[in-house]
Amino acid sequence: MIFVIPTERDLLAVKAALGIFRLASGLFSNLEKSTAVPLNCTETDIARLQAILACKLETFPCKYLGIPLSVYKLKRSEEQFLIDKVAARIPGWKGQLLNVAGRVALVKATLSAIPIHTSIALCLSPWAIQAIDKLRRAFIWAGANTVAGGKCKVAWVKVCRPKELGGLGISDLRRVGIALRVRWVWRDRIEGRRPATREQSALALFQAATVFSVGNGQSTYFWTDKWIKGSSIAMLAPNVYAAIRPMKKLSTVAEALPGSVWVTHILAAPTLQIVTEISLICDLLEDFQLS
Amino acid sequence: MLLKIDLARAFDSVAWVFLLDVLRHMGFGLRWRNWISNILSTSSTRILLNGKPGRRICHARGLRQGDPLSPMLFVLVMEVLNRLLCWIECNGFLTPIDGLPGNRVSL
Repeated sequence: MIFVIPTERDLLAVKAALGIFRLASGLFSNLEKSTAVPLNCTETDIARLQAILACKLETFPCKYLGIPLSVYKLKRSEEQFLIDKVAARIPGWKGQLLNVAGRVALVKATLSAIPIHTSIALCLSPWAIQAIDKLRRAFIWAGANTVAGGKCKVAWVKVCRPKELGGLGISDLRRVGIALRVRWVWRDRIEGRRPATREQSALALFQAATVFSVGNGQSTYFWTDKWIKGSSIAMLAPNVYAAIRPMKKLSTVAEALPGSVWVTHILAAPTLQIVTEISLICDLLEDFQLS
Repeated sequence: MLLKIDLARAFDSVAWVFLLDVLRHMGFGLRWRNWISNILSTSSTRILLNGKPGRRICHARGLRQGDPLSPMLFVLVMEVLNRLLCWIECNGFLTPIDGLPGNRVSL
């Protein structure tokens, strides 16, 4: 996958690069099977592309590495492929001939694993998760594609719990998905970027699961990260956090700590609660030094 | 604009000489390169014709299919394309794209 700005010079340069690469490595690009996805392009750009590179045009959503890429929210029909994939597994297994334990093992090892690859990148919509759950439930209890409610011996919510908590240890796709996508938050924070994902639950899980130890304070958020005595200022002083300017919610420790700049972020009348919380923060920050 | 380039028979057509050259320039040691060339050069093909295997055909290119090492070697080869495009960009034949410094190609 290559990003190009579709001017004549750029397209020719890419074509030349592919040519050189082919001569050097023996890998030749099959332009008939390659596709171009115009992003914000005019008609002339597209005509130029077809004159120079002669590849097929494609629009969003396009599939890349098996994941549907899109600029807008996926439609039902674009998530349907996952459900079909899960459903296609079931008829071949002769589920009625297996016992429940065997079917549970199959569900855990294969049916639950099929959506993993997609849900690393995408947040599956609730209806898709429900549809997959329906199939998994039907296969566990009846060994078939569908099941009547009466045949299900235990509620699905309970089945999804871990074995220690009385379930069968079947993964809950929504929660697994959130856990998988926390990696993007993690990577952004490790590399010192602001998190690109806006998925609240992934961000919340990240906040809950990490403790920061502050060095120079450039990459730790003053208000929300847990950096002071194992908890965050937002947790210690919820009223103050609710009253700070929205723009300042993501200021770093290095920005907010020196000279008590953080006090200026607060945008509320000093009620008794707020004043006590401010003094609490002051006590905590008193002997804190940035390195 | 986003180009999805399809490489025809990608694994089968990586030239060994090129791969070993890339490894050398990326700073892999001689011993490692010898191992790789041993892995590559011990593969051969025979054509089964009417139940009789034909003579051995030795290869000059292509990574082993199904070897866990192959995808990584392939990524190293594709990195060359990325570097090539970056080099072209540095020399002013490609318009730089914001937010993607040195990262135009993704597999």
